[in-house]
Amino acid sequence: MDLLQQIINGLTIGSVYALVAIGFSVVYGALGLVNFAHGDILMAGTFVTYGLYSGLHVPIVLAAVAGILAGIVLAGVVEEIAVRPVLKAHLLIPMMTTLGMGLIIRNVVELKYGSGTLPFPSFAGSGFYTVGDLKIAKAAIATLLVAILTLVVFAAFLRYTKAGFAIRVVAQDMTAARLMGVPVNRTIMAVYGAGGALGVIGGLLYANTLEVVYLGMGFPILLKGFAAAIVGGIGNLQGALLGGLILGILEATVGPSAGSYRDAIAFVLLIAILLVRPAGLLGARVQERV
Amino acid sequence: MPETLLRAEDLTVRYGPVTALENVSLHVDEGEIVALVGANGAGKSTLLKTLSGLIRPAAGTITFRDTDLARTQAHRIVQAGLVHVPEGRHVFPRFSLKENLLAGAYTNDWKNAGKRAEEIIESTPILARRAGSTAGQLSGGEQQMLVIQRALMADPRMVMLDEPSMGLSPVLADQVLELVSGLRDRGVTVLLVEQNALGALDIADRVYALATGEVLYSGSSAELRDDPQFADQFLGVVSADAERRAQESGHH
Repeated sequence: MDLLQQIINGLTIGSVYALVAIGFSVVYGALGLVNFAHGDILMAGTFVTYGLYSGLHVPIVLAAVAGILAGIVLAGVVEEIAVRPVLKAHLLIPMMTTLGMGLIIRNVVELKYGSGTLPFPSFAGSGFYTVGDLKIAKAAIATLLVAILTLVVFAAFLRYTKAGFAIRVVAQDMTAARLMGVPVNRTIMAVYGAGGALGVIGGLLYANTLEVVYLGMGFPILLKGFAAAIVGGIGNLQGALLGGLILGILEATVGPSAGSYRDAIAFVLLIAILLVRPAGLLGARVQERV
Repeated sequence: MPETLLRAEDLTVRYGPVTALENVSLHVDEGEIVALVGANGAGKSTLLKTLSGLIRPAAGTITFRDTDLARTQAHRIVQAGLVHVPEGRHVFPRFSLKENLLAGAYTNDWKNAGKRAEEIIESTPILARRAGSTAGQLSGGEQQMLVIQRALMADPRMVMLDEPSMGLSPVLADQVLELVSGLRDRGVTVLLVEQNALGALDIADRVYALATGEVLYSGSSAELRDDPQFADQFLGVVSADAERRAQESGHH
């Protein structure tokens, strides 16, 4: 029963990593670029919700929506300032510029909230549900449900809306997309916005699970989201989901017995997966034709 | 007197210090098939990219109907009715054939596009038999048919085709050129870039010949066919080129 308990815990945190990983992967899939401001964007959005909810007592749903909108706007600003002007430069350049934007965002949040760890009131309440021997935190249930709902909505957006179609077209061939009349710049902006929204939702669920917010929270989530995206096959959204869940379950099952090596053990196993499947679990197979 | 659909005047395009096009002027009238011929590097593809808004000219004007294309974003040029089928086909490789055609209708009647796409696939034998594939799995000829049909999904007034027969077997190349020459009957005006100048002369009403970024010859296909200088410079270039290509393909 203990293992089942750990797997449930793992799925919960894994679904958070999956959201962050998908936010990453959607940008990578469309542009072949890694948005290193992703972690700080999701941290800032989470702080916006925190400020409204804890400070101004705005209802949690409204505060969360405001935080997500803040993430969309910030991601759009990062795209406009740090990505579009250098889109044709060597890919190290947008890496550095997004890293720089991340630092700026972090410093602005620090000016307002400092660098301490602040309590984030869990919006799902702090009780447990007991099923047989299993104790499942209400927060965990809420996290899983929100994550699943978000993923379903996002998948439907990509699949069934014209804007989602535009994203899939741009991801495959930007020049051809332009020549079909797809507004490519607007679509890229939408990709970053979607990534920002997914990131902030992930950040909120992370804060809700751990019941804290802090300035540095973006980095570990970014790292794990990044790892999840790579293990799944970066650019592949189902892969990012799978990678996130695997990472979460590894952490929850192997982690507790590994003490302070908890993160290391999970990453060692991820490296092992990559040794066997270098392109990730669902990564692009070898091109079928030239 | 047919209406002039597209008019470019004194276009100059530079890539950094390199001048790719110098004072190029051309016009295409409604209902015409106009061919652009010339060797590799003559500026043909650059000219099409400039007309479709992928590249901005350093100088000169482009008018399509009433739209000033030199100041119009690429996706708005499609909306205006001018669609560019680029060199190298550029299918969306992970999409099904139907999804590829849908992309072509992005600026058009989106609601009925799915049905139209299915009809096109059914009525095009070369596509119908590959209906279950993704576009990336198609052969070059099949992809070429697909991207021409994809462009037509926008119901354009005019299409620009960049080397549609390149890399295809002679039989397929003929099929593609046949499809191109049939576009006129559907009311679509065509600007065709072809390295195969003989094939281009066969289906075009008029021809512009480019060399090193400038228009060297222009005239009706019949006139140019009888112009010994043109034949020497452009039909000769083509035959030498064909020879080289034949030699290269012999190695594969």
